[in-house]
Formats: sequence, C-alpha cells, structure tokens
Amino acid sequence: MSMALRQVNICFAGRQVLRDFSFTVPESGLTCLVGPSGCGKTTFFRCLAGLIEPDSGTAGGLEGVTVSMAFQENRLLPWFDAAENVAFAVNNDRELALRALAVMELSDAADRLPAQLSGGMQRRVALARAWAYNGRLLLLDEPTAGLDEELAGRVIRRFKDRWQDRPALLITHERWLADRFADRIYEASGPPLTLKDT
Amino acid sequence: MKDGGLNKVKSVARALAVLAFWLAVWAALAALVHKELLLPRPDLVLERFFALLVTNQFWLVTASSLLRIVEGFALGLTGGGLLALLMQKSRIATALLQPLVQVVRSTPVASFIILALVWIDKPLLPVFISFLMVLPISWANLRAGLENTDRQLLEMAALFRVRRLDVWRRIYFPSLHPYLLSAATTGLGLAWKSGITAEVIAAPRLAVGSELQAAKVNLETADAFVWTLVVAILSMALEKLLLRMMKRGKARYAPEEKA
Repeated sequence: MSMALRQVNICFAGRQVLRDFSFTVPESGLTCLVGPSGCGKTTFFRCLAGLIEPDSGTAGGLEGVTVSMAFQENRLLPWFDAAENVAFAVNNDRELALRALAVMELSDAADRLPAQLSGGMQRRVALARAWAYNGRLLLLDEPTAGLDEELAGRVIRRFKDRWQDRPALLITHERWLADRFADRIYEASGPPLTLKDT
Repeated sequence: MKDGGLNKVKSVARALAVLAFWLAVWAALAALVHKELLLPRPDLVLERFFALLVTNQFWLVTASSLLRIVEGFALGLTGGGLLALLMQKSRIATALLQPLVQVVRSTPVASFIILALVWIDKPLLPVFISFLMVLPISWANLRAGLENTDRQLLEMAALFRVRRLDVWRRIYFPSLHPYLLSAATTGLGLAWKSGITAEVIAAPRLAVGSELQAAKVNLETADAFVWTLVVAILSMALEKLLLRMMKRGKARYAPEEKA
C-alpha cells in the first residue's frame, strides 16, 4: 500500500493550512517541494511523519513506517555533544553516530556541544541524525540552510544516493538544488497548500 | 599559590571577618543589656554548646530531628514531583488536586500542626508537617519545569522512537534540573523551619524542638541559643551538601562543565 494523504484538512488558529489535500508519496526517488515560507509545506511534512493528526481525511500506508526527518529547526539537545545528539536517535549507538557525522563531514566536531558549532555545522548534525536513523521515508525540511552551495550539493547527493530505492521528500527555497537533484519538482503555494507538478 | 587557592583563602578570611563582626555586635548588645536571661554573652553560649556537644543526649536529639526533617523533605520532594506528573497527565487529577495544593500553600503551618496533633503520633508529626510544607513547593517548581520542557525536542524524540527512559534521562532531567534545584533549596529551608516548629508544639521525645521548648520553660536562654545555633548549622550544612550533590548530577548535562 502506497503512502498517501487523502482529502486531508488541517486548520491552525483559524487558518486552513491543508484543504481537501491529497498526495501520494512516490515509491522512490527524490521529490522536491519549492515554494515560499508559510504556504503549508512543513505542516504537510508533519502530517506525513504522523506528528499531527488531520482534522479530517486519512493518512494511509504510513502506519509503522520509520521516518528520518530533518526538521526545519535543528532540535539538538544543548546538553550533549554532536555525537551524542546523533546517537540519541539510534539507541545511543555512538559508532553509528560517528559514521553519520563523517558522512556529513563533521568528524572533527563529534565531541563539541551545539553551542560550540556554527549554524551550518548544527544543521549538519541534525542531518546526520536523520541519516543515522535510516528510516523508510526521508523528509528533509530546508536541509541546506546555512550550508555553502558546494557542501549542500555533496550532502544532498549522498542522501539521494542512499535513498534511491526509498521515498525521499525535500523542502527547499533553493531552486538550483531542486533542478540539480530532484526526480520530481512541485511548486508549492498557499495556504491552503497546493502543489503543482512541474 | 595558584589563583584558585588564593581566592579560597580570601573567601574564608572574608567569612571569618563577617562572623567576627556579628559576634562583636552580639557581645556588645549582651554587655549593654547585661542580663543573661534576656541575652546571654556569646562566650557563655559557646561554653554551653561545647558542654552539650560531649553528651550522648545531644547527638541522639540532633540525629532524631535531622532524620525526621530529612524524611519529611524527601517525601515532600518526591510527592510534589509525582503530583506534578499526575497533573500533567490528567485534567481530572488537576481539577481535583489543584485546590487542595493551593489550600496547603496558603494555610499557616501552626493550623496544620494543631490539626495534625489530633490524628498523628507526636514523633511522626514533624515528618508530616515538613512533608506538607515541601509538597506544594516541589509540585509548583516541577510542574513549571515539565511545562517548560522543550516540546520540539520531545516531538523529535517521538519521531525517532526514542525509549521513554532515554527521553527522561536526556530531555526531562536536564530540563528539570534548575527547577528541582530551586524546589530542593527552598523546600529544605522550609522543612527545617516547619519541622522544628512542629517539634516545639508537639514536643516529642528526642527532638531539638522539644529541647528548645524545655529551655524556654526552664528559663535557660543559653540552651535555647545553642539549639537554635544547632538548627542553623545543620540547615546550612544540609543545603551545602544538597547543592554539591545536585551540582555533581548536573555535571553530566551542563555545557559549561563539559566545555
């Protein structure tokens, strides 16, 4: 059964963010959503991840699906170093965490606290956490914020290669990123969110 | 000498100077009043203190009171934490228990002591009163701590299916630490004050409060000063010990100590 949202409605503070919204997650490949802030993309991701219940409509094929997600915010534990932050998502497996940090080119920063890292480095710790978790569905919400173009390209390429047989969705403001890596691109607008296949 | 050692010497010297100043004020006032019954001289109080210190009775009395206060404090801290948890999980529990906690907070301790005297054995009364006074402090602080725990971190942990124990160890405990510290330090002071007051009123066997009451009845003002001094020393020592224990616990989470 494919993962899909059907006729989903979500309202926040009197604002309809998703209205009769339907979307079927492609079986594989990288799908990019490009569009302005506040149009409902993040709400759509949160609904797919099961973090919010729709007011009405159904989320099918998502029960029990493990989700690797890089949130819009880094959501790092300020009390723990980079490796511990990554390990937190994988039963405190530090070896696995260190490997994920190496993929994100952060081996040197493994024992540094979030406050001792730059914004871009913190972002990569959050990405390493999603990488280490290795879920069935990958959701990346503005993953390259704070990264230079070259590094952003390398990081996204690695995610794309690893998730080539699994569905991966990415929200970005950077059109070049979508043009270079996406298998499918949707232009997002709203609220309520609408996705236009380009 | 290294800077750290020098600072320690300076801080001890400063504390001794402050102590000497207040002892001088006390001695001057005692000389002015010139009545041992109203205000005994500091050297007399110290003499009495050392005389009591070598008796078995002194240690038995002190240890019994200490045990009661610590018991009441620990029960109050734990009970407040459990209440905070229960109220976070259940609206019905909040509706039922919140007014009760508010009543406990706003009722004078003497009222509770007199009421509890009817129901509870004398030796247990100080434990119960300390517990009752610490409970709302602990509840209020830990409730605030639970409410202020970062929802985004909890959501992240839920997404990655992190074990409940790890969520507690790595998100709740570090977040709750400052609230727990505040609850513990405020609660400990209150436990001493209310516990000793309960002992004074209930006068159980082997209790600092009972000794204070006896000193008052027998017009032994120097003894009353000694027992008050004992309470102050124990209270401060226990607070220091608690702070040290909590600091050690925090070292596992505190960025500045890991950095």
